[in-house]
Amino acid sequence: MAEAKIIARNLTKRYGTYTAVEGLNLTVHAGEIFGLLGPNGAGKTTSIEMMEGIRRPDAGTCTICGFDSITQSAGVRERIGLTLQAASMPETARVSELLELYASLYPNPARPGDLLQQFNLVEKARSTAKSLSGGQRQRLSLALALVGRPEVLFLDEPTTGLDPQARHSLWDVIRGLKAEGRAVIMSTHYMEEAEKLCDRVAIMDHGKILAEGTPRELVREFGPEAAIEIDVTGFPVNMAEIAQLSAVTGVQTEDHLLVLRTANTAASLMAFAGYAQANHIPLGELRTRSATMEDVFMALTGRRLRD
Amino acid sequence: MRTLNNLKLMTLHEFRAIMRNKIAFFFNLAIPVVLVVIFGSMWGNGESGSDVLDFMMAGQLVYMLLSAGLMTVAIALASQRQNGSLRHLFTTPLSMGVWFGAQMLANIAMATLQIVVIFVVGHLLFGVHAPLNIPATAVVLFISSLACLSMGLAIGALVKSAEAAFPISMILFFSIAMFGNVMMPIDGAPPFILAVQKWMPSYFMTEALGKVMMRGEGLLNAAGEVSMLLGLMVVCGSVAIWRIRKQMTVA
Ligand SMILES: Nc1ncnc2c1ncn2[C@@H]1O[C@H](COP(=O)(O)OP(=O)(O)OP(=O)(O)O)[C@@H](O)[C@H]1O
Ligand SMILES: [Mg+2]
Repeated sequence: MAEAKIIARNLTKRYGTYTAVEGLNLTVHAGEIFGLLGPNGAGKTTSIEMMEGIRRPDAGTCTICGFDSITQSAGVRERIGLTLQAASMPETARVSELLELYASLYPNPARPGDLLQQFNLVEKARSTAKSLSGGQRQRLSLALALVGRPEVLFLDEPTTGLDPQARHSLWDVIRGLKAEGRAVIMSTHYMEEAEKLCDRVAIMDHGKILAEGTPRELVREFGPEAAIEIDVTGFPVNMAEIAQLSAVTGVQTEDHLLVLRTANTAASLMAFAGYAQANHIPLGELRTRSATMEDVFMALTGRRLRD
Repeated sequence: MRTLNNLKLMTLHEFRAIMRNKIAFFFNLAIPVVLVVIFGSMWGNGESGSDVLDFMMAGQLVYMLLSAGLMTVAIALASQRQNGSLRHLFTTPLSMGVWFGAQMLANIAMATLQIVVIFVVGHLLFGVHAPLNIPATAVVLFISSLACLSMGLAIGALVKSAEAAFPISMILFFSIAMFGNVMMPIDGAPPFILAVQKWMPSYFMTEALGKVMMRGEGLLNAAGEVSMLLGLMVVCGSVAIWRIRKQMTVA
């Protein structure tokens, strides 16, 4: 097993009587992309900032490359790179000036010119930060996070607001970091991102980690059933009856969709077809799918996490 | 070596930020120059005139330093706090010492520019005279500039939001300038105002400048005022550093 780079133990943060994060434990190894998946207000940013040492926990500790986040912050700061969730750049500074300034802060920095190239910012080198588009800003903030050649990266929703193409190209960058043996922890509320990019995912809600594992393990453990989705707009259905159909393990309506969870897709499909015929329900919009992270999230929280 | 390079780049960064701030440029350089031109045209200076402008130079200089230090710095710092850029900067190995040093150097660079511009304009147009004791004047001006900077940093670090920084620093700037004899003499004012005046940082600055710049006295004669300014610098600077340190790790 690769070296553990981030070890968070029992991190807890309270605001008055409200507990934003409770007893958070996680370990991230070198060469691993760890995803914190959760809805708005789940406590992702609070958790990440406690690990970074820029938010003081009420309980618990975190060590980064063997340095305590709070008491040995100098050692930590030399070894981490991070993007904050909110805008966080000096707006009147130019792209190349910022990269050079940040490079001067680290013992063994990457070359600003190389980063411009890598992040496709060469043409923007002389532009001010405030004149960049959302995607260019995200790229610049990632470039700034990388300029110190950090062993550990904390990325707080690095792809939020990006178009799919920009998101995928950022995924490639992040995969590159993993290949170089760095530890990456990132927050997201995109299911697809958690599933495709992250090696391990922790699902957070209300300040707690509800489940943790590889996307595959989570799906296997918490979303074992496949699902059948039928558009039943305008047709009354009897949920109790449907729940009795062969191999059906659960029924829900989501918006206008009827969702059947099933242990046996073929059997349930046949049974539902019969029910539909008897009740004059057209089977226009019908599809089946195997379980996804979305189902896992649903199973754990009872809610959907929309992109 | 790394620290020095870092200090250099950080100073450049801060100085560029000041120079690219158009509103600040207007307050810090344009207004004082225009004022000198207006006063110069009204009263003239030199052989024919009564050296009025020479007398006004001290006030103009203090105005400039207050504007660049107190007002510009307070607003800039408050907005860097608000948009998270300061917080991000301090997640790197940047040390507070380098950061503070860069603030001082950038501010001194700005002050130097202001001082040179105002004297050159004053001299070329109206024959304003050079300070009588140039080294002592330079020392007083630089210490004044640092005192203004520290006040600005303290305000910028204490205010709740960037929006609040503007009115608060503006009010402080004008009161300090008014009560400190900078804008106009207030010798005839009621006694309580005169009492307040004696405690204004701007008063120490104009008094000290009067001594070394106008009357050519030595620095020692202005030691009282200069130590008050140094004291102010240390107090405000410490408050600023203490606050910023605290804010970098959000409780
Ligand atoms: N400084 C603060 N004071 C009071 N409450 C706070 C503070 N910071 C965060 N919270 C609360 O803690 C909870 C977790 O916030 P956090 O920012 O960690 O969520 P998040 O998972 O990052 O959400 P998002 O996806 O919206 O970024 C929220 O309910 C938030 O309102
Ligand atoms: Mg967040």
